[in-house]
Amino acid sequence: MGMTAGGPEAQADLIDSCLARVRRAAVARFGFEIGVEAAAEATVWAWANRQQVEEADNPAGLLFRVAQTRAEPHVRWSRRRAPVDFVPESTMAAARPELIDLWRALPRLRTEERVAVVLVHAHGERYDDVADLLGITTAAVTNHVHRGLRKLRSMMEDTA
Amino acid sequence: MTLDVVDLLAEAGDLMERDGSAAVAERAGTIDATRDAEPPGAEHQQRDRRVWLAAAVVLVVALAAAAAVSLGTEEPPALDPADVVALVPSDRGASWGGLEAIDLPTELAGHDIVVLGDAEAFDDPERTVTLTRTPRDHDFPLDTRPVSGSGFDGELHEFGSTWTLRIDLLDTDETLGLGSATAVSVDELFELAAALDLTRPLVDQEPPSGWRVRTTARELDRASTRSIYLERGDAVDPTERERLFVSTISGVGESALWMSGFHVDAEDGEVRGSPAWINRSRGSISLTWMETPDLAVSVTYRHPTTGPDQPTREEALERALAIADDLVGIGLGEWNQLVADTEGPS
Repeated sequence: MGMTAGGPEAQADLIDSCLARVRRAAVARFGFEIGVEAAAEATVWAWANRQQVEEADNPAGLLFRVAQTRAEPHVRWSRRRAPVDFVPESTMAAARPELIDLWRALPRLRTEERVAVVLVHAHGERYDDVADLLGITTAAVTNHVHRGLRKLRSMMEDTA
Repeated sequence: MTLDVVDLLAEAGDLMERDGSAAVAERAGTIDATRDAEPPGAEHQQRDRRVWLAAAVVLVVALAAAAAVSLGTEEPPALDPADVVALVPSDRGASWGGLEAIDLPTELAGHDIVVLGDAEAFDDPERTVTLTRTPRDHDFPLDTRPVSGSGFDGELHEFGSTWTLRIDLLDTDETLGLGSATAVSVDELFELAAALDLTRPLVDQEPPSGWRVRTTARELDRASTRSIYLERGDAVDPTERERLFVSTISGVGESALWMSGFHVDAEDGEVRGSPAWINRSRGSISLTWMETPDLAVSVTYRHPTTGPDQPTREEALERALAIADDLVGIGLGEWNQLVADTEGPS
């Protein structure tokens, strides 16, 4: 679906809303450092190509693809297959042990499972919105969340 | 006790939202600001880049067309020998390969990087395109146009002013990615450095005085890479801190650096050894020089882009040069020896 008609402020709100979802997904997908960099690049791109974003059928999905493309050089550089952090070191250092265990367990999930679990249960996004963002079906999101949560519970109980 | 993972996730999400939102806003502002602050002459350089970009796009479109035409035919698409200016064997280092003709994809199977362009473009990275080799599970997310041929399937990605041609080699588990080299940015430098396979870790080295280790290659799961990421300053805002990324590249010759796009915008003379190259991009300065005929050193200094310590353009360059001098003084010779000890004569 394209952006709804409305004034410039309403459209700006929609772009902001899309970018927030992209940022959450990028951090879940790539980790904090690369995710932030990718989301920032997508933010700059979004405002420079505002019309294209507004006319897109799935603007959040478009911007997430932009973020993934922008993340590519960083991923190649770091040669990482999975992210190593989801918050800055300072937050990690001050967090309670259960949260640290959770953040350390997340990279062990499959990428699709991690992103789906984080978006749905950490950020409260709807399953069909996550499906739009990631370009997959709602049923696939449901499966990823179910399997991801099951694995997380198992990993967390092992560390408890 | 049953752990409530869902509640933990919600709590974690609050912190991720707080930190991520602030960091993206700051970083996006920095990108915007540094793009607005293009140096004098940037417009001219941009125009030149557009010209060479157009040439590069023509080349890629021709490649893609050749690949598409080959669908259902017996002959694999071939590159014009005149287009191939360098091959870099993957078995070791970046010594020069021949300039012979190659056919996609089988003749590329033993190479990591291929630089395409005309002979005159050889010394100009903005007139070349690179072909890199990556694992099959590499993620190319954009909408694509399929291409295929004998022995491979592929996709052409076009996005704004950049493009990538991805080729899956059917008889291997690897993917070839052909990307534009429209301009050499720090990101691209990192990408190219990764493609060059920096082979030795620097993680056991002491950081220069005043710097602390931010991330080591080992922490980044890059045990095969001779690189280290340092940080200086106590500002909470990351854009007010200084960061330093140092990497050494062994087993490469000067010409390989040229080929890989390290040469960008030589403004200054020597840093240490010869030659030296300087690249400025998005609040950072990269210096690359040949420490020995076989060892290149690359230092990327990301300076504060906000706050009271934000340097002027000239001050930033002076700081980067001073850092490079310090680095040379404290141990690049040792790193070089480490390479020699572990790798033996080439």
